[in-house]
Amino acid sequence: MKEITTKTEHLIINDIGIIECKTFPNSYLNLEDAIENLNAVKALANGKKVPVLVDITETKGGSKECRDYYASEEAANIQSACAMLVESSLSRLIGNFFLGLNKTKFPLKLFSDKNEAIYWLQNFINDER
Amino acid sequence: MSDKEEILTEMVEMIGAMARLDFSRRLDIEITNEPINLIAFGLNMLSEELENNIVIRSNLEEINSNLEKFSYTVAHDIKSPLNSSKGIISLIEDEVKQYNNQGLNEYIEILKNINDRTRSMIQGILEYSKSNATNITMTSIDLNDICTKLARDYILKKEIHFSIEEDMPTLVYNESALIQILSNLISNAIKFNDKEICEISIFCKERAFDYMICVQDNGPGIGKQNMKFIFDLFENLQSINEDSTGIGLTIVKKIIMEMNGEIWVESSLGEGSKFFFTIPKSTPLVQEKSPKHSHTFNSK
Repeated sequence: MKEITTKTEHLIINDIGIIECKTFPNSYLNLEDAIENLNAVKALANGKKVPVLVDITETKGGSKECRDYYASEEAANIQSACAMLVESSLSRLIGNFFLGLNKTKFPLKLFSDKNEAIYWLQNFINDER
Repeated sequence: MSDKEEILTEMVEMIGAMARLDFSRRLDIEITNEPINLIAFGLNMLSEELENNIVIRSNLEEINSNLEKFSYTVAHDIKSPLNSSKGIISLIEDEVKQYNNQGLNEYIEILKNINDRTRSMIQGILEYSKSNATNITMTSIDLNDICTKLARDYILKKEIHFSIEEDMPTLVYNESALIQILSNLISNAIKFNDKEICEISIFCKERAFDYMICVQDNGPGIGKQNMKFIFDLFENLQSINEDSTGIGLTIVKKIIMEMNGEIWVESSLGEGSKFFFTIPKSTPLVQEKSPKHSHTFNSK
């Protein structure tokens, strides 16, 4: 399986083993969506811990439960690192919460350039379980 | 007032509320990249996160305060028998120096008692710290069955009249926790009973959100002064003796609270006591029976 589409995002595993996720325009994520999306990451990665690129440039955010889940131990068991692609003020604002109040248990960085994000994520490709 | 002015007023009110540590407010806005909406959205998220952090902090403060109180009480209460031992050892020393063995047996007996009491106290503290609701297994429990079995264990040992309501519900709870709760309440009722025949009734009442179970006795009752302390670890450590670690009710309360229930007592001196505890209905009811009757057990 190379790609999965969930209710709120499209996920694809690229040639170098990074999972690229793009949330749908105007999507607002709840806990169920976060669980569905991380399960999709898990399925694409065959249970391995992988670096993930999440493009949230067009999202409308997520509930507190959703943010907590993305910052949880469970998420850290699935993702070795996360590059968050932010462009708009709104997506940058959401991203900043994941750097502080919803701090993840894995390295997370905000990018506005996809190539830079992919370059950074390559450091975590071999970080398998 | 324009929409923007209205939302700005709401923001000011929300910031005021947050300053008063009231994080319950949320701004009703459309999520867009408009600066005013972004600020409102950010405030909503901040409020949600801070609300959570405040709850965590207040729980931690309570734990810290209990820990401080606990450490002080344990240190104080363990110091007390050690001081007594020191006094007795000095007396023994004097007698030995004077080749006078008259009081030795008595002193050794006192030392043994102090030692037993200290061991019981430490045992009680260990039991308390081990009793928690984590890793618990919930099973379906027939309340009648469990009460009947417990009653049979006790009536073999003492003259007791048990009255157990028939047709109590089958509940989902942790079995060993429920046995520990009921055993403690029953054994206390027996231990402190001052009547020729100890009478114990157990009944259950279904309420809107929980099941309320009551263990009633015909013992001496509890005075108002003591009622507020009987579940308190820090008070109960004082009452430890050779037969008891003294903190059974504290452990019972801890178990019940950790499983989202409550415990309380209704009593007055000379009129027996009723200990009530609750099992929430979120711990789902598997089976319910009706109507209500009761059956009795008599020892001897």
